[in-house]
Amino acid sequence: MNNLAGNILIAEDNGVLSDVLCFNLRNAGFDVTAAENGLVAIEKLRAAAFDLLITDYQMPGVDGAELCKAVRSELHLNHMPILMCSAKGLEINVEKLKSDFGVAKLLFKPFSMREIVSAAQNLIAARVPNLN
Amino acid sequence: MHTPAYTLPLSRRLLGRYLMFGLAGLFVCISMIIVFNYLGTLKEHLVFAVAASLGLLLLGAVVLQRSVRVNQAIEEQLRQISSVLAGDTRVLQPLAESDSAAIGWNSVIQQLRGQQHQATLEARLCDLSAAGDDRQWNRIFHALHEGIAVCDSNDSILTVNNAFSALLGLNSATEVVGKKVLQLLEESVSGMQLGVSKSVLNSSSPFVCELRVGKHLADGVWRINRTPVIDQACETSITLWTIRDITQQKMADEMRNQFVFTATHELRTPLANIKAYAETLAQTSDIGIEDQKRFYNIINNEATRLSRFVDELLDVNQMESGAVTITCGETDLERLLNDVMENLKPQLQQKEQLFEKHFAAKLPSLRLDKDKITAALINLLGNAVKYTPEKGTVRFLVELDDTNIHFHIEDTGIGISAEELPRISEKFFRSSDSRVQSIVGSGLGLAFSQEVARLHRGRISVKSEINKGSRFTLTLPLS
Repeated sequence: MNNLAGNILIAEDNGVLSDVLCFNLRNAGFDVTAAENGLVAIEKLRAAAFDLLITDYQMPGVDGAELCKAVRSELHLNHMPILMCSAKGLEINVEKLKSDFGVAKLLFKPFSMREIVSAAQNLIAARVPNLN
Repeated sequence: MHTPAYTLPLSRRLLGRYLMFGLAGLFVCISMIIVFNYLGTLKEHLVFAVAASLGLLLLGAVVLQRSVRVNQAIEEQLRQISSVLAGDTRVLQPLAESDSAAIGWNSVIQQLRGQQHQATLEARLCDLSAAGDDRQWNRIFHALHEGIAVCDSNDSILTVNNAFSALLGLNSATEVVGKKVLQLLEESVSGMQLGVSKSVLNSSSPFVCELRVGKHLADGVWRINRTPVIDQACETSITLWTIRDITQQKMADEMRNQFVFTATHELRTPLANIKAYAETLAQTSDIGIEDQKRFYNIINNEATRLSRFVDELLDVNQMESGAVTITCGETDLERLLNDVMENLKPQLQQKEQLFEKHFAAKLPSLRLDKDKITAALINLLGNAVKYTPEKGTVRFLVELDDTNIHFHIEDTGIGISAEELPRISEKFFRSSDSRVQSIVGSGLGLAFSQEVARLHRGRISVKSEINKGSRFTLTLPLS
């Protein structure tokens, strides 16, 4: 079990996938909160502090890109790493997402649970020393 | 071999006659002198002998004159032929005389006239066919669907066809003569972006580019082509501009792209879920029995979703090839509706919506394709659930009248705008409303349901208002 406790917010409209993500991340020792869309995620980000945001790209209402924009420019959470996942393929401009919103990593569905847990661990581990 | 008299040369014939009359006159004169001398009356009759000889010579002169007259007439006309005649044999006159020269001459004229008539006829036919060709090409030029402008080497318009005028909204083809094609394009398409530099236009090399006529794809897309036509001296003599309306093609491309995008998303989402749950089950050792069961059920549901989408794709593939067929059998409607509701259950459970159903008291048995009608109803109901937000209402009503059965599916959902309503049953069409875009859908379901209704001699009618909701009605004949 991982001893790096971290607070993760998952923004994902696909409830089935969100559930299994929560299950695996909790199993890896993280505190996980789920939001079913971008708007709910913004509310949760205002209400509590998170060490990592995992967001889907395509969501109703506020999508992944808009959520990232809000995180950086409205909520000023400039140091919180963002991990984005998407079922989209080539039409996503990965470089632009990275440069504009500092998206740390982009995973395409279907992704491996082990891969996403490991990515979350790495991103939080990289962040903790910075904060200290 | 017999040689006709008129084949002798004229001079010999004239000499022959002249000599004949001269000798005859001399012979008559000498004979009369001898006779009168013998009779001893020469003195009294000398005058008479001389007069008779002179008379004979005079007669010879008249005959000669007559012989020459025909030839003079021919000679005169031959002179006219050489000086004036340019193939017009009307100036040649046939001769009334019946001698051999006149007959020959008349025969020559007749032949000449025959030949000239033929030549005139040939020339007229040539003229007619050339003019006919021109008219034919002109008709073809104006009948072409591609807009064509023929320009001089400076790109100034010489002529345009009807399609060109229609595309650019010109009142008449003549008003643009002398103008530049680029200038016309700039006038009719605001904010035109050709995507090529002006230097390309001035070069002699051909180019092709696409031009969007408006903000939206449906406003129009033109393919512009400029082809310089090189003459024998290797110079650009004329430049041909063509404009082809490729809007339909572009829209079909976009629909296909939309489909590929949707299909990718629709395939990846259940696949991602299956992979995530299967991996979790395989790699996590301490999952409770309840969780395990739940995970297996999710995998099962997602696999069903995947297979339904593949079925939908196959159905559409069949629709595309016109190969959708129905196999009708006696069907218990009550059982069919139960199947529909059972199938819809997972979707209904996912959303907090009010679902109302009201079926007619006694439902008849109908001859229909059970699987296809079930799929069509699941589709219509599934759409109502999908496009109605939480707390909304979805109603499913089944009514009967004397001749038809009506399946009404009502919702208080997003609704469809009046502009998009006519397009909703197009294959791959999805609303541009961002609320619709964020919900997965193939844009195939309604097209399929409509085809199923049609094959059952039924129809699907739609009433909808944006932000208020929609009512889809599947009507099938009872008999």
